[in-house]
Amino acid sequence: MEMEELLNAWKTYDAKLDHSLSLNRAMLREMKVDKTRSRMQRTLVARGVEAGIFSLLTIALCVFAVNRLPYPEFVLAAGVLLVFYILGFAGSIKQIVMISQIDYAGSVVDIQRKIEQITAHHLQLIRLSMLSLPFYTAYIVIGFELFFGVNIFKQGNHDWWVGQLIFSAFMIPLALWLYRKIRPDNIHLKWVKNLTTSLGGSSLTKAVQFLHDIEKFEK
Amino acid sequence: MKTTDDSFLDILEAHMGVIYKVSNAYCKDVEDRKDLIQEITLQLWRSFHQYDAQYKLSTWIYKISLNTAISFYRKEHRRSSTMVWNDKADIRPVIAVAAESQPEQDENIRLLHQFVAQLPALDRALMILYLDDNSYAEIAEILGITKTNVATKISRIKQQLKTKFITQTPK
Repeated sequence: MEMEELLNAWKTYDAKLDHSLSLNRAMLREMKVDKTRSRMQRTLVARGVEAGIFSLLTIALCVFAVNRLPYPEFVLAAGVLLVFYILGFAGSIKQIVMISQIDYAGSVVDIQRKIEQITAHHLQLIRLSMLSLPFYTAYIVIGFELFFGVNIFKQGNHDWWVGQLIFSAFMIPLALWLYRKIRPDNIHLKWVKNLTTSLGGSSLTKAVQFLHDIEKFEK
Repeated sequence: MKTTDDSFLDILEAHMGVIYKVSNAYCKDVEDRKDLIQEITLQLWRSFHQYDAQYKLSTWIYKISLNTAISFYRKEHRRSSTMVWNDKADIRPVIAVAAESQPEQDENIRLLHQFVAQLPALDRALMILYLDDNSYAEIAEILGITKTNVATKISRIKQQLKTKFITQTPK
């Protein structure tokens, strides 16, 4: 089949479709649109809950820090984690704004990118959690204080602290490297794909792959 | 005087062919196709009050139909219904007509459908728009890419299709 035949085939098909349409008018008049939530609205609710959790954690950390103002080690640990929770909260709010701006009458590439960015939102959370790796000691400091009433900063011996600092320092380049690598244009890398799938599920990987396809389509 | 419902139905009727073609291109399964036609109709209805008359109606319909179809195509759960129909209404006749219009009997149309269905989601949208005689400028506007990009991609897809025709069509 040549291109000309292909176009003719499409026209024949089109004519067949158009011919049948007049039958449907009376029935379509009866249509009632349900007000039930669409998939996007459900995602909006999910992101709202996520923003709520981040804001609660932020408040809890602030209360923790304020109640321990004379102890700089606790304030510092809470401050470090606050940065990540505030970033997480901001990310959720950004998503809520994006969902509310989805208009299917927009250009295909733009709308599909927005939809996939919303679906791939967990990738940003995974990247953020990678950045927080060097600061894992903050969790230990706060955890010991909250659950056991122990100030690990004072209780931990010198060698333990040196070990923690060395390990944290070692984690900085690793965290930065992971943060830079885990992104849509690297989804072809097997380990990125496996990590994304294991942490966010196959739907996240598919969304990230489609984001990559969109980027390629635009070029 | 025409109500909003009447105006919407007139527009829907005039452009139902676009909705069917897009649905058929993105859904192989008849049940999925029914759901997609419903979903496109719903999205058109939801966006109808925001329609800006300075843009071509067909452009608006293509954008909503393609965006809905691509999103639907990518969904894992395809059976979620977002519409209810009045007791007197029945979606089946619409679908039946669309299904009857499937051109299985026509080998060329069947092959064309097969080739279009093998294209990635965005290339498929591009090809539908091209086959529907839209200008490069219109395609660029609907897809949100440049005219040059449209021309390059169409040329490449045509070449791919030509190769497939040569290798797959019976001599």
